[in-house]
Amino acid sequence: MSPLPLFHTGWFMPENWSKNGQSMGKALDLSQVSFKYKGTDTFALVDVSWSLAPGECAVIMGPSASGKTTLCRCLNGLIPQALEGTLTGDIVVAGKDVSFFRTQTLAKDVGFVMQDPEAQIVGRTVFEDLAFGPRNLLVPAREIAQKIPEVLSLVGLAGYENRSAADLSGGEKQRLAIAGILAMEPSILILDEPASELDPAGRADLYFHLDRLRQLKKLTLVIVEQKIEGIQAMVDRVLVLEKGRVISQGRPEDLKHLWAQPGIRPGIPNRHTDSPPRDTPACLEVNHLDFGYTPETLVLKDINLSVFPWDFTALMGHNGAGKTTLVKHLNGLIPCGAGTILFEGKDINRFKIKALARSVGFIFQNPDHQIFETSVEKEIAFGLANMGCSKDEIARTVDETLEKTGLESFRSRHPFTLGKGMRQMIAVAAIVALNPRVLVVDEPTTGLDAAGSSLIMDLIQGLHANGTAILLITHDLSLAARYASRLVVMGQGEILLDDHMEKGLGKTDVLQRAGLLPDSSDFSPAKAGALHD
Amino acid sequence: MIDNGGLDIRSKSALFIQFMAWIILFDHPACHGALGLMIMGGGLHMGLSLKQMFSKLIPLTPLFIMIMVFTGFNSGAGFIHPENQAPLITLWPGGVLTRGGLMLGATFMLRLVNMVVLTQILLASTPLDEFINLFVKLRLSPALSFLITTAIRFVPALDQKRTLIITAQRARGVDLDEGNWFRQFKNRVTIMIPLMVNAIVIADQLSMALMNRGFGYRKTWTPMTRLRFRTVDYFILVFSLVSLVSALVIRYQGPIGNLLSI
Repeated sequence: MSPLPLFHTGWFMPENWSKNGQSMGKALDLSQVSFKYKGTDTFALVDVSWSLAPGECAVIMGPSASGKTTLCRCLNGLIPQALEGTLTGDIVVAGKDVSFFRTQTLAKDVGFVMQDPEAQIVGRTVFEDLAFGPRNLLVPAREIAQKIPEVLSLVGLAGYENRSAADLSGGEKQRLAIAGILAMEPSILILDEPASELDPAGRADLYFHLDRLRQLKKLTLVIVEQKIEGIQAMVDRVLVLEKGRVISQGRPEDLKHLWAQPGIRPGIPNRHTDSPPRDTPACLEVNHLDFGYTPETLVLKDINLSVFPWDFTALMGHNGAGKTTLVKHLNGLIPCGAGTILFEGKDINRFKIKALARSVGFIFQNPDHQIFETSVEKEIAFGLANMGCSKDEIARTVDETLEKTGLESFRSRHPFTLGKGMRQMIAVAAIVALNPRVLVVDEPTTGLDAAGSSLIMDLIQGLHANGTAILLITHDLSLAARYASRLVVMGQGEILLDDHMEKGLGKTDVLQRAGLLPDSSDFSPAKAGALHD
Repeated sequence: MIDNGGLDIRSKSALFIQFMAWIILFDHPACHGALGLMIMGGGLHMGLSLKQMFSKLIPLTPLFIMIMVFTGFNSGAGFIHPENQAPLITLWPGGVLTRGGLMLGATFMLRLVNMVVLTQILLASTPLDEFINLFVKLRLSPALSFLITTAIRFVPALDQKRTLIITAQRARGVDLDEGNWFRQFKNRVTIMIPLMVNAIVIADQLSMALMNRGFGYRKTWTPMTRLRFRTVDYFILVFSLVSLVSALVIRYQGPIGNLLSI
């Protein structure tokens, strides 16, 4: 892309150089940018023109595959410097044309925090990790050592220098990833869905720190987000993308009408509001369950929980509350030690793996942990064949499931050629085909847009309508309120609340304590409803 | 935090090399048992628990058993000491269990154990930074140095992924230990394919993350610590050199070498 190879090093470019000279005074300026990844037919970005002033905060929104991440990659030079494809138009960031500067050179001005914090942590300790960026930029060691405590306090991790990076919680890792970029002192910070795996309190905390940083350091912020609730106050500009095109841009208050559109905000709630009948015996019973990964620390403390047929339960709580550990006990992924778990009156320790998997299905957050077949239909058929079903039964069930899930037209496609939302749908379909009595769903909508989330949740709701008890783990209170009829809240390994959804939503003190509401919120059931409108 | 004993990475490497030399040069299980005790003692002294040192070996247990069985039925023709050639049990013509075979099996097993534990101790007690400093001292390019150290970090990340994938497959009814060996092999395909896909994804994201952090901005980077020799390091270097020469002399020149053979 570069007219002169020497320009790639950044040595011979004046700081505020730009091709057309129009970008002076702007933090970033895109003019008619289009991009197509190598080997694909469709454009990921089409004719995008956008600019942002220094110190402004912008949110990029849009459905899956709308080009949000591609746009971020353009802003920090990964496109066109590292990812191949066809790029047209001009991208000038911090006064530098990204076509002429390497990503490493742009990293001095533009920091990019990717979606998965795990993938960005390169040091064994927090200090090692934070020092990595400045060391590459040849900042003197003494300066780095002085800078690290300052950066850690900016993200609320003061005193963490010697902590093992692997032992941090999800929220702490996310803040470490941000600190790793801040240590390089960029003037523009780009964050790709930074709060997607955080509980509401963690999300509020993260944005509090980001807003503080913006004010203290005059940072320009570009944030990819699926929802804007709770952060409108700090946002100056919103850019809405769809199929790579800008469909709208402006100030948040001018674009309120867009939030209700499919693909940007969840639609009107259609929750099944009937109370679960409790006169039937429980299909799953957890009695006095204690568990700890180490003998010193109990992760689950005296858990008692009954799951009834027709239950649609939302299991909620802060990061590290013990939700996933609890549900892993329910289908034998963690052997039950202290306490008992009964499935239809029988101790689950006496079930074989296959039998239990057919009775208690489990859908994980990341579909790529389970997909391995070469076509969608084979992936769905695998579980049935593994259970010993006849060929006719397998064929019939696969056809029914493909039709039910809308995957019929993809039946022969390789799953890894499809997008993440579609792969999540395949993972759900593979479990739905087994028609389990109880279905545990762990954060199924993380990273999906509202339309993709609705598709998955409607499928799960369909299964529930046929009699399957659902146990949904989520941090999203509005999603839970929309679909579930029962709310179970966990905190520090204990069940803090087990009630009907409406009543549960009224107990704001418990919800706050469990990190499901930011401390300052005066959340009420009425507001929970308002979240959907 | 694990105490690295305050040793310089160079003296640690010298210790590592001399231990490896003893492990490779000698075949007697008693020698490997003694080496194992020394290595374990060193690990405990540095603050590692037995679990940290030996947990990586648990999945290798079937391999150890197979080594013992197959090597136990060694013909015995190559053993120096006649008592080691004598058959203990004859199960079928040619299927003779010998004392020497059992000793050789124990040697192979202990050799593997010692190598794994020794490497584990070195990795657990040495920050990545010190490895990079050593590579820089050896005049390897920073990019190559970082490639090696990142590979060291990549393996645990992939291992975590493997655990998640096994959990996801078990949840859909895949029992890895079910059926005969062919069935078990087939079941493992359900782990291998997602693992390969995830490995590519991790590698791809890591390379982008490194560029985002300025890796490769210049051909060098800021050293955070200096390698510094203390008295104990000189002592360890001399000890390692003497030990290495002794190992070579004992193995190839003298009667003790025969005593330490089977």
